[in-house]
Amino acid sequence: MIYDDRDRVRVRNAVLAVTTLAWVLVWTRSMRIPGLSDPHAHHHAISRGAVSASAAVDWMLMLAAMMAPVLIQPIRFVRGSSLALHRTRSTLLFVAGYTAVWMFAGALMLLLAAALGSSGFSLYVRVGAFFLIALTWQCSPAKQACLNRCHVLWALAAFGRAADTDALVFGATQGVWCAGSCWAWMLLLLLLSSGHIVAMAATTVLIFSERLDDPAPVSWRWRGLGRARRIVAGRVMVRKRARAA
Amino acid sequence: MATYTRANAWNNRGTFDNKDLYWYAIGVRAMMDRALNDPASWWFFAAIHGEYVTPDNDPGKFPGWGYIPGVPKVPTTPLPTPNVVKIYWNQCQHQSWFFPPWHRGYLVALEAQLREDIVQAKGPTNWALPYWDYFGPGDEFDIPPAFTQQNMPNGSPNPLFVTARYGPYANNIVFDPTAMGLKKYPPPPNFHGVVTEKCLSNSVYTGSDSNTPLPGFGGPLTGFWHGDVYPSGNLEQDPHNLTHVFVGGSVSDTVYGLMSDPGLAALDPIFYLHHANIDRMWAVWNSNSSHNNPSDPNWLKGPAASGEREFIMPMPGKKSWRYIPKDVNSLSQMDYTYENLKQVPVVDLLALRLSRLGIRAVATPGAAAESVRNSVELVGANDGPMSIKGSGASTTVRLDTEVRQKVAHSLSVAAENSAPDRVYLNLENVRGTHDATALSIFINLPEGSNPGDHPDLLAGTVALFGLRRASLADGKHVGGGLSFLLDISAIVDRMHLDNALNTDNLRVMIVPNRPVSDNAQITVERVSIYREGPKR
Repeated sequence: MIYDDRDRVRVRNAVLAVTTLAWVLVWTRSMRIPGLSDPHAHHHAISRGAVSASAAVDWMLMLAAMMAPVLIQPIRFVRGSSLALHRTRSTLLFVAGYTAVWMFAGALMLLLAAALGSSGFSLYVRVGAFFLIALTWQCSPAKQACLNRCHVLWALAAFGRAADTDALVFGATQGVWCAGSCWAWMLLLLLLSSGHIVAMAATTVLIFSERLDDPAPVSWRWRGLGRARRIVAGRVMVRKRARAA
Repeated sequence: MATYTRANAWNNRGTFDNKDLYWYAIGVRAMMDRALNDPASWWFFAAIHGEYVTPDNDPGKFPGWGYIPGVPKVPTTPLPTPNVVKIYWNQCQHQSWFFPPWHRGYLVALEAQLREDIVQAKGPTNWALPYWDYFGPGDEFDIPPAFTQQNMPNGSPNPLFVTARYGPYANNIVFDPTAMGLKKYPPPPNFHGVVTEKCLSNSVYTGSDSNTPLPGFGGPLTGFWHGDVYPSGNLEQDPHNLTHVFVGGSVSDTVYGLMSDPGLAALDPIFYLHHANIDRMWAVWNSNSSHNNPSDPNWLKGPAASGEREFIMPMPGKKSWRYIPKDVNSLSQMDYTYENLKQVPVVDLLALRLSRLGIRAVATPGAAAESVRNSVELVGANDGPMSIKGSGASTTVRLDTEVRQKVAHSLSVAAENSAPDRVYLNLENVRGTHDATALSIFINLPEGSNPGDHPDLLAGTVALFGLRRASLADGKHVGGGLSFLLDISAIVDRMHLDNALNTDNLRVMIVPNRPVSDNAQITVERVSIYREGPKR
């Protein structure tokens, strides 16, 4: 697969525009309508057996804000693998597959969060327990397996229905591994009663940073901000060398 | 004036009369006498390039280091601490624009350690690593004889001799199949690979122009992301990868020569002479004032600035050397040079192509060169994965009519001061376990015909150096395998001239250099065709 340099730039700019807009909308909704953009506020609706439209919108905005940056490379790949005339169609199918998986996962998580909310445990116990679960998942071999699979790009069909199916399935598969990797932190976000924006931002940095890390053997280890730390250390090292020279 | 001069290994007929080779053997022996976990040992340096000896990488059979046949006897213990492994081992940069600078630093570090040992043995203080210029005159495509003798002149075992070095025809005749090499050693029927120095005609380090097919002389821009499967740079693909695979060769369906696999290659002393020649070719390319290395800070600062592993080498005296591409950007920054940095004639590929198309001249060649940059689109692809077994396999690549017509149009109007599209064949996600394989790709070979009778339909030959490591599901490539780009513009030009381009299908035949067993599990997930040219 060969990338078109101009299309690479276009994709990056478009995705960054989408994620910026999503952050602005998340922020404004949380400012204008207290309770919205706080999935905790939707627990009552969920407990009545239906995920409200508002909850769906908020969840979608969270996804767009937090996950869009990690889709830059897969989208570039889908477009580079497709005939130029079909690039937009393939991109939309990829995004549809990815989003469908996350919307389904989101519904399950909202239901789980609602169930936990009515479990009788205090907020601190719920959040503390799920923080430990998220930390354990972060260090687990299963998390590494999911992260590794997030990097997998496979050859897509170029023509006809097979091309459409491949783009959709590729998006859904990316969604499955992405949800597998990030579910614990996302669920923790749903359990918080305040500080969502800050927690979302921190989680976004973690997700993006760990996605930049090399695939690695599946084992127990701490992972997450290593790449971000190394980028900072690398820049410092290069500056020091430049000054020394 | 550089202190050290790397000279031709074929001086004094490539025997131990060549003192550079004699002292190289003395230095290699001293390094081989050290333990695996000693940063000054031969084995440690080999593992810096790549290894199959740590628990994460040892497959428990060949190519595990404990299963290498014959000599040298490669130690598998004691392993360094996991932290030392993490810092130093498995650093090699391939399919990347960092391929030339990383290997330059690697050679400098090994050479420093060898020189230290050579001086200890009362050898010359200005000793420098020789290079094997397989494009040299006479029989210099043959491996220098000092590497094929089992014993040194004094009767002691020759540390330059390696059992697992089988050569391109798997008959222990080790040579590089350059055009001259193939004259001396006529190839068997399935063998179509020829090693060339045509990359020296490229004018762009990364990217393309009228004289440089993608991904460029030095390699593709590789950045933050790891899921992508990048092709090797033009220097890396030919002659580097081809020489590795042909010199290593194969002795069975499961065992191949050390040189054929990046996790074994640096165990073979010929590795460093091969890489000295690759480094020399980079310097020769740079000696043309219009051939420049990247000025992009992302290249100059190296991968460490982007949070990737830093380039770090052990140096004599238990020191270490951290370096970035900027430190090894040209020979003038280094304290060594090469005996021969003579430029080879640069072929003007665009003029050649236009001439082939019957176009006498281009009014403004510069403008024509500019127009072929950076617009790339898919023309077509085959339907699904193909398995390479036995004597080969074929597939049909379906072309999109509209995009194919764009290519045809570019060829038709090429006379109107516009370079024609460049057309590439892309083998995507090539996976398997047998690195010592070269694949020759033919386009529209007549049904039932002998590929050897149609050299004009040969798109190119690619070597599967690094295949096994790239195919590991939890390895750095997450099982994505290898990717290969072949410029097939010459074949497309001929189709255009023969009025045969009005087709929506191309037949692609892949012929391995030796029969491929089922064990090798070589698959190609997609065969695609791309055009590169102005947006239309």
